[in-house]
Amino acid sequence: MVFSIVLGLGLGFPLAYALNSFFAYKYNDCGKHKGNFKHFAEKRIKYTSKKSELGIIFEESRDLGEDSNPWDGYRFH
Amino acid sequence: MICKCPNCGDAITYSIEDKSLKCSSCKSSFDSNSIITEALWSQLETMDFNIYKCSTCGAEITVNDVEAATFCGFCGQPTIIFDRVSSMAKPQKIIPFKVTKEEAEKLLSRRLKKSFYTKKSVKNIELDKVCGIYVPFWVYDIDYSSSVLLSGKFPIIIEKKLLTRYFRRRGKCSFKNVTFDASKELENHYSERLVPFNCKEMVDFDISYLSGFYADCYDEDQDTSEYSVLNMVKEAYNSKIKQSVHTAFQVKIEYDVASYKIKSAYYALLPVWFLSFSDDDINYTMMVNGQTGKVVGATPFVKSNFNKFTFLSGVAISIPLIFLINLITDYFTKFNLFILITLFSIGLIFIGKKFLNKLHESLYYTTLHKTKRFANNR
Repeated sequence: MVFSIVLGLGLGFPLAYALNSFFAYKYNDCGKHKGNFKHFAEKRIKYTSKKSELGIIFEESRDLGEDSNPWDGYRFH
Repeated sequence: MICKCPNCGDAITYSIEDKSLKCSSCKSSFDSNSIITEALWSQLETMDFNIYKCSTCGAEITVNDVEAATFCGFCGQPTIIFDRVSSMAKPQKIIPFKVTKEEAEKLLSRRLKKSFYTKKSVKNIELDKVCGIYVPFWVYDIDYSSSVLLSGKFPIIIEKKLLTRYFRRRGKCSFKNVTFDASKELENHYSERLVPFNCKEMVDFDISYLSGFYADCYDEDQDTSEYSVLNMVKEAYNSKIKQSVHTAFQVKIEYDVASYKIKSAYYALLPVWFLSFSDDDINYTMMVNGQTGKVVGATPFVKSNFNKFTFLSGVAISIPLIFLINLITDYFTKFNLFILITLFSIGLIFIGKKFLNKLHESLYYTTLHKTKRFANNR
């Protein structure tokens, strides 16, 4: 039983600390979200290209695999 | 800024509800063209400002011909002296205030009431320092393109290491209406939180919108802000590019070559309400986006209340946990259970600390003297 009490308190207090910190952050910090990609670019999907994903028009999208030398034959544009 | 009523000579201000200039005494409404004369308007390609210097704090105050200033906008002192006349670029666009002073106060008091670990006196605090300021912003339209090499881990272990796969992405994206605060007096990390502004509601600059509000001129030029804006755009673009890799985890950018073209950049005034209050001699300056009503800033947080509540909830949570652990001890060895719970507890403390650090960072900006100086005693 002593073992359970020690572990129960050892888990209960950190859990309470994490929960209270979360609520303090959630309710005391207002307008935490900065401007991000969504605000400036995502709406572009509607009027640019159907190929566009996430607001970015991909001109090349390739998986190079596990190539140990990914630079081989690769040219940046 | 103050304009005089042609009927009674009292101050006329821009009415958010009526979207016109209104006299506070005789309640007459005016079209901006009837107040701002053709002659004055034609001079407004650049605006001539009288520059005043505060003999107390040294701040420069720009006041145009139709504006009357009786005190320093930064420290509130009436001791301002005429310095020189300067021509400054007129803002090209403006978003008029949509949220009224009363609405801004209500929005903030709602947030204060909702906040945790705050004194009761703060929850019902009187907001006597509320001012609407048109904050200068640079607004950019940027075409951004880049070639990126990404690497990510694959859940296959080869020679005791997770398999690394590589991905190539070449793409482009147009960023529209990227706003960046052009005032040195306002901390960028704080003003960044005011976005998004709905730039579709942006109109051509008309000086009548300023009537009844404060307005600042930019003091951070376009070249200086360009570097920060491009970093912001790059960060946003790269975080989205990473999301395009679905088949791996721990995706990181190995190398990227980027190019950009600034399609347009213009100077605009965007509406912000600044609301100040004091608690325990600490001044809190919170902001409300004057268009969308987004409240920005951290509400006062009393550490002793937090500790008290954490202790009480800790006891309350621990009691059922003790019984739960007592039940599951038969299924685990004591050593394994001890290790498992210790690791879990360390993780929880780490998460809690992270949330509190974020809150303290926000509190730092809310109580920053620079922000207070920007907004108070106008």
